[in-house]
Amino acid sequence: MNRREFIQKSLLTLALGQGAPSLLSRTALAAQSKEKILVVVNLFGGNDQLNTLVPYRNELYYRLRPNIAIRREEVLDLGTNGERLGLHPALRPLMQMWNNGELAVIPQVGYPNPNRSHFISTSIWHTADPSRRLETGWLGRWGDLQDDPFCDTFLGGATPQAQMGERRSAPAISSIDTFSIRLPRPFEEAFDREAQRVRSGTAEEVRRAMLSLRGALDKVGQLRLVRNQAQYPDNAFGRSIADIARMIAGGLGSSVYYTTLGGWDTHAGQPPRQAELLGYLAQTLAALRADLRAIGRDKDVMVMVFSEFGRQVAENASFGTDHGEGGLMLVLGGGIRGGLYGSEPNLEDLELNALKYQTDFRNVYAAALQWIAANPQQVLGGDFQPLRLI
Amino acid sequence: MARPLSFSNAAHLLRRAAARGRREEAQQLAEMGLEPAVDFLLRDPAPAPSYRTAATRNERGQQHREISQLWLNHWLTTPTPAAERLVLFWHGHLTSEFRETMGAQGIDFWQQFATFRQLGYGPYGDLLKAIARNPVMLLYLNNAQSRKEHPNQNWARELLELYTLGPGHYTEQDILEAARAFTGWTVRLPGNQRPREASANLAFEFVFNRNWHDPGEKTFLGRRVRSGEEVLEILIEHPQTYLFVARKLLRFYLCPEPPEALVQEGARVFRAEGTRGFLRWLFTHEAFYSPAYRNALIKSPLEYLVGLWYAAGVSQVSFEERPGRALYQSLAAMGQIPFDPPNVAGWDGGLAWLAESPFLTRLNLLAGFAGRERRLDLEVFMDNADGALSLVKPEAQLL
Repeated sequence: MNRREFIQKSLLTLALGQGAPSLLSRTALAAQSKEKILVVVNLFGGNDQLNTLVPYRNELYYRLRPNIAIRREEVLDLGTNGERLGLHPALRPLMQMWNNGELAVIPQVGYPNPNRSHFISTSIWHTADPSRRLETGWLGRWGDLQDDPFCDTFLGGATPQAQMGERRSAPAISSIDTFSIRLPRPFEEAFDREAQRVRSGTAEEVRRAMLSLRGALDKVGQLRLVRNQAQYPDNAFGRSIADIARMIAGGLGSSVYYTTLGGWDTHAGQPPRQAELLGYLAQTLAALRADLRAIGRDKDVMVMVFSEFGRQVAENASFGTDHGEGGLMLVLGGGIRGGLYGSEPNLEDLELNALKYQTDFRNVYAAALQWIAANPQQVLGGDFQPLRLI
Repeated sequence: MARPLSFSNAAHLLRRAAARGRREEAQQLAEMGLEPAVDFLLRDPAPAPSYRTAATRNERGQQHREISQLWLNHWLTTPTPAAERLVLFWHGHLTSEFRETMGAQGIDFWQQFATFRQLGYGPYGDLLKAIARNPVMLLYLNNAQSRKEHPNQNWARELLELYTLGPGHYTEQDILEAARAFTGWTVRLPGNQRPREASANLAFEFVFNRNWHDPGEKTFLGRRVRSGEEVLEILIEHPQTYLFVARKLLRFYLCPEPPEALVQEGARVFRAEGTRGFLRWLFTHEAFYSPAYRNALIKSPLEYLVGLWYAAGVSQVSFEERPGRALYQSLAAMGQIPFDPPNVAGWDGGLAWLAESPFLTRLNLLAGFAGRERRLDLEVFMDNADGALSLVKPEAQLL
């Protein structure tokens, strides 16, 4: 067993309460003191910034997008603090937060030498390393420093790279209600026995997955009685965010929750698709805010929304847009300093038909890390001035 | 003369090649000896049943369940299951998503699988050329709507990034130029029938629309080209294509991180002898049977399901009625629905299959086996099997 395996194993043993119950209870105490929570939403596929945060007073925008531009009269005006920009009409549920100064809109976020591959760009955002040397995720590196296997949680099928560390990765829970073991007793007993027998190679990795599953079953099982106070849209994303609210209300104790909303790769037929997705996003985040207010946690939660890149400026022949560079981030919450963190995009200064990036995403990450009382420099491996969101 | 093949190695070979087997089949392979056993596994695929539906073109959910069921039942019953595991490979590599491919019907996807079956063992270039004209692919990656005024870059980008060279071997400009070259490659229904009125049993066909094509000269990877055919030829000649795909094949058939020497050697064989030659090389290679590579892969949900159902003597799944509907939903919860990979890069695989929720769904399927223990033949399904309770051992998840 090498060092990494040893640490992993001992962490799991401790976490499952088979070695040192004192640490487990210490972790439980620590969980209660964790006040601040970060919720990360990954829009996979590359959301189009220009039709989300619309430069609706710019003639060139309408010339470059004769078929897919958002009509002037439909745009939600952001007023004097939003310069000359407005939001897509499907984002109406977020307008109250904007007016209250609780929604930060950050245009043209990116990184040096942008990559237009979904997978490479996603990986760069997840590792927070544009040089592509690191394999661990930014939140994974933070998780490595915690002594709680539930310090962060992923809502969905399989944990993203962002939450993979050297020593641990976030448990992946797709839904609280379906997360229970339904096996005849002899199978379940055999499962627990097999999970204790150390193996080698891939079999050992499977065994660790078994241990991790057992720990998650015990922990998540306690949340089933927690109910939401708000109505969420009835789709996978709505249900994931609703479960995050239940996890917060039920005291799961994670400082970070992460989930995804896919379908933004709008090479063709963009307008109806993007409108639908933006609608889901806004309705769901508004429901989350209402839910958190009901349990008095609204000021403790920062929600951060990102996509791997924005899209190109001129539309293509199929009423869509191809992969671009700088993209839009949203950050919101009762304890957030809202507003526009950037300026109207310059549509005359493009890079192969794409918006250039203006803000490095690591400056936004640094603020998110600050929020959960982590050390940005330690996690990001560089000095990134946190955006003043707090 | 054939090299000897032990029963244990035969079980490993069968599990890897086909993800499906029972004791007597491994026995039969062992008796043949290594090379004949490999040739036997890699023989030409038995034809799959044809697909017809009573659904309309709008009832795509039903069509999706029908073709998924048809494929799994074929995998469970075909005399050539190795061809079906290879279809799964091509499906995850030359991807198309049913959910995201508006307009395409079950029949179009079923025919794409027929192409994987028909050309899957042959030279990669032949398969690539066929897929470039495949209606599902043209619709999925939006080339069907690509016109010279504003080329759509989706297909060109994925062709370079995911299907041939891999990242780092081309520029953004190459993508743009390739996209221009493929303008006008589109689809229609036979006799120019209108989709709205056509039967769901009518498949799209490839058509070259000259009016949409940009005939001008393009510079692609430093060479002057005009047509999509020329772009494909350059990629098919390119050694990097074979390194990239051979590495992926080794990840699917050998281990998550194949040693560089095997990748290099595999790429040469893959280029010279096609996929069948590559698989014959790998399955007769000493390394393939070394302890380091046994139980080194994690079964995907489809491999798990086919392997386990076959071990239990099940030859028919049904997604149209309960409890089959629940099984179809389990596939979604485990993260692998046929014809619907999560994105254009296919399935991640590996330990991602065993994240908490997907792993739990897999285990919960075992409830259906309680009381049926006597009919289970797990000899090929897993190493170290010892009765039905072994299905909760880590080894049950390994290929």
